[in-house]
Amino acid sequence: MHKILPGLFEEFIELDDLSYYVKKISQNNFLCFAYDQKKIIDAIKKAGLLLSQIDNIYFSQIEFESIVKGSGQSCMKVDNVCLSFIDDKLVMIPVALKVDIDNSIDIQDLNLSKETISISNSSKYIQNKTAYQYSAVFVIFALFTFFKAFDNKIQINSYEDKTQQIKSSLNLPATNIQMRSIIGKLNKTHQKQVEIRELLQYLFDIKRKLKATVVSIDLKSNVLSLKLKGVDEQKITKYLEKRYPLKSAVVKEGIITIGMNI
Amino acid sequence: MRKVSASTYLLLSIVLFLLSLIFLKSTTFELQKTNDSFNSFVQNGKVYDNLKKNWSKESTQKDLEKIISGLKIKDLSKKVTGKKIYISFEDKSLKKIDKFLNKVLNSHFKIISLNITDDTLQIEVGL
Repeated sequence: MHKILPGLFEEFIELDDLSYYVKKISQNNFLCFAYDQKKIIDAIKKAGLLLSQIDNIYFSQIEFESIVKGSGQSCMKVDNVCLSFIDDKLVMIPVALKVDIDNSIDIQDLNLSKETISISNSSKYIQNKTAYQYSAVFVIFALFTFFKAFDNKIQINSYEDKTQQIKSSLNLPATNIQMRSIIGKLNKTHQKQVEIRELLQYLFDIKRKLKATVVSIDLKSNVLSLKLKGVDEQKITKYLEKRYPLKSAVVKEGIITIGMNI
Repeated sequence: MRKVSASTYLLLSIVLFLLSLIFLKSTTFELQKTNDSFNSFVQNGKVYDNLKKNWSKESTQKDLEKIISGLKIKDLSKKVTGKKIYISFEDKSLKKIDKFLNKVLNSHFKIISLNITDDTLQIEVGL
């Protein structure tokens, strides 16, 4: 419809920046309006009003129809032009030709129709209807996003309960610091014991690899004393020094005594 | 009362949407952080539980008793003090010393001291 409307007016007026409105009067009869929003805005400003103070804008051609017809008034003067309905058509008559003008219209008695247009400064960029539609979409998205965010908050709060459950089921210390401290201590013990086992394993391999006889192994605190026989001192010290630093190596009566720090 | 224009509604709804996005991003980040922290806590909890079970006084006593009774070592001397268990025994064939040592080294015992000679074994295990 909006594609056809400009064509109806192009013969009579300049079409630059005009808006259009159509009221269906009856089957195949339409009342079409072309209006310049800027001019309406200027008129409102000129009247000392703010655009936000205007609820609705009506077409006088629609609103005054009942008054003009109902009151038997034949002509109404608007902007030095006489408006009158003749054969159900609104016609403009030069004032000079019509003398029985009666402008005693009581606006309070008007029952305004629903045929309105809305004007806003932003209408140049976006129609009000579109703006409301976009607003609704944004609000729906915002609600969805807020819902998801609150769901995240609920999940965050639930972690506190989960943490307490794990603490009680595994009998964990009250604080993470305590737990980390105990883990550190136990890890140290574990590491130390692994080292002791690796060293002992290395010493037990002497019999197989060097064909030596282990007389005794004595481990106390971090010091290990190893007594061997049936093997060359240099051979055994070389074997041990590959992995561990030696503290001492003494040969007495065919027995090699080696001291090591763990 | 001043009428609020459609464009103001649009602007407000965009602002509301942007605020909701910021809120969502912040909570998502917080949730991720909490989740990571929780996973790390669970991991640490499991490590703590394992270490505690492995190196506890109760498990040391229980496992050691199991080894001793399993090998049926005669003349085994066992002395328990507050924080230590002292064990010594003789075995001419060395078989039981080997088996005992093998089981002890493959278990989670805190070896404080160890003395192995041709036919004797003395070991001090921490509790």
